[in-house]
Order: sequence, then C-alpha cells, then structure tokens
Amino acid sequence: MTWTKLLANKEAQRHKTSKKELDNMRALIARDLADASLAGLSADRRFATAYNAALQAANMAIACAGYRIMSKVGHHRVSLESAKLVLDKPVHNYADYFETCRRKRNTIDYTFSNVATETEAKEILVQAKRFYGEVEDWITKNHPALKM
Amino acid sequence: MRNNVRNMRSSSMLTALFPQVRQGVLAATLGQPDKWWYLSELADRLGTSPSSLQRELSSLVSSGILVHRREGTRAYFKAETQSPVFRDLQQLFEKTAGLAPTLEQLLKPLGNKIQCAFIYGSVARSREHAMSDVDVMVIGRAGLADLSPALRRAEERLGREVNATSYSPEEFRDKLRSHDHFLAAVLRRRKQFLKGGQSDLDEIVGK
Repeated sequence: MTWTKLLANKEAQRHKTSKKELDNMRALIARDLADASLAGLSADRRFATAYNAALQAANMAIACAGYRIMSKVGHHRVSLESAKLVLDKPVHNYADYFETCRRKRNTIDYTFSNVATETEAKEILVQAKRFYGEVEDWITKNHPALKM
Repeated sequence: MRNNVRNMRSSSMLTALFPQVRQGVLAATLGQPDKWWYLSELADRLGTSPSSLQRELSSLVSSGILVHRREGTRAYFKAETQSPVFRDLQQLFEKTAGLAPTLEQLLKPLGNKIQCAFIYGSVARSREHAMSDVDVMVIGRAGLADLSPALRRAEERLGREVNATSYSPEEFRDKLRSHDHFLAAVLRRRKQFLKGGQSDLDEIVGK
C-alpha cells in the first residue's frame, strides 16, 4: 500500500488539516475513551466505542501527513493500514491489533450481540489509550504546530 | 513438550516426502478441497510465479490427484475428491501442514500466557465450506493484542480469515457458572485443541 495507489484508487485524497480540526478529533477521542470506561455499558458497546477512539487517532496521524481517507466501503481497514505509512514502525503492531478489532466491531454493530468478552473490552480500552498517546507523541515530534 | 516434538516432526516429515512447491500446492488444494484455484491465485498464495507451478500442476493432474478445467484462457485447479488417495493425502496434510498444526505452531511463542486454546464452530465440526472463517477460543493472559500478529501470519499461510475470542480464566469460569448460552454451546460441541486439552479446560472451570 502506498499513498500514490490510495490516491489513484480514490481511497484517499490530499488534505490540509488544522489545529482546530485536530482539536475536534481530540475531543471526540476523549469522549469515546470516557464512554468506553463506563461500567454500565455492555462489553460490546465499550469495545466498539474504544475501537472508534483508536480509529480517530489513526485518522489524526493521517491528517497530519496531509491525507484523508475517503468514506467508502472498507475505509476503516484503509485507515488502519495506511496509518502504518505514517507512524514509526514500533507502532505498526497497533494497526494489526486494531484490524483484528475492526472485524469484531463489524460483527458487533451489524450481525450479533454478546460478541466482545469483558477481557477484550478492557484490553481495547488500554490499547486505544496507548495508541492515542503514541499518535500525540508522534505529532509533537513531527508536527509541533499541531500538537495538543 | 509433546506438541513441540510433534511440530518439528510434522514439518520435516513433509519436507522429506515432497519438494517445497508440491507441498505448497497440496497444502492449499487439499486444505480447501471445494475451491477452484486460478493459477495466479495459487502462485500468489505460495509466493512464487505461475510458471514455476506449471510442471507440478501438470504432474498432479495427470496422476489424478488434482483436476483442472478451463474457462476461456484461464486454467483452474482443485483437489480430485474422487481419487482413492484423496482422503489419505488430506489427512496427512491436516496432520502436518493443516489448520491445527499451523495455528499450534504460531501460538506456541505465547507459551504460558495461553492456558487453553481450541478451534470451534464449523471448522472444528468438519462442516466447513471452502471459505469458512476459522474461530479460535483462547483462555489465559494472552489478549487480542498478543494474538494479532500470529493471527495475521496464520491467515497469510492458510488463506482464510482466523477470528479469535479471548477470555481471562476468571471471566471464562464466571460466564460458564452463570450459564452463558454461547459458551455452553461451544463447549457442548466438537473442539480441536491447539493448546491444552479437555482436562485443562475442566481445571479452568474448576470441575
């Protein structure tokens, strides 16, 4: 996967982000991470909400690199995969992990209930917070004008 | 220990019996016997070029182990399920390079983080079709983050989606005690163990 191919396939477009746009995404992530911690919600809903926070964190990194993933079938998968083109290698394992979570989240949202276990819902919250932290560190280092 | 010996023997056994390319062709076609493989698809799966497969494929077709058909300029291949040696060959590959040995091998580096792991669902019940996903249940301290790299590698090797469900031993025990419908159904049906066995499962449950 390369940006050239993603642009040619119209899976991504060039995009100039702003501090304001990133701050809106930060607020969305903060909301989702807080909601994913609510004990009263089902494991499925906490899982899907934490996944959404991680997806937005991937989109933040992509925006900082000057791109936006087009909203079409499979765009979550494209976001997670293309985050690897932007972030440093040690962070790539998160993309593989969230790709596993993406499929589970699809099942949760469209097919079955009681899919995520408590173990998985707790884990994704921890992983989403760590991943978001890595993205913010990467922004501070590579795009200081856009940092929190 | 017993599993380690089995895996080491399995891979060397196949290498002693078949050259690398033939192993790959047979593992793919016997692993999904209903599937018609397009030549370049098979080459892609094995990480080689279509031309390097030609000789093996012709030999396997002429010996009746594979069948082929043409659609326009495209040639498709699949296992000859009517062959008298089909089931024997399939069993040999299942034991050596099939789903369970591949997954066992890939999960092995997680060691004691996994207390018990097994395949369940249609694949475990041998009622899968060519594209059935593989469902794996993992009980222990290995979460999906630990499992994901192994799952990705398994998918690349097996050419099918592998989905895992992970439980801590405590959650697994608590859910079973509260008669969780899904878990009860999984445990009633056939399982293929990848790590541990029924006694380990009983131990987790506290039987």
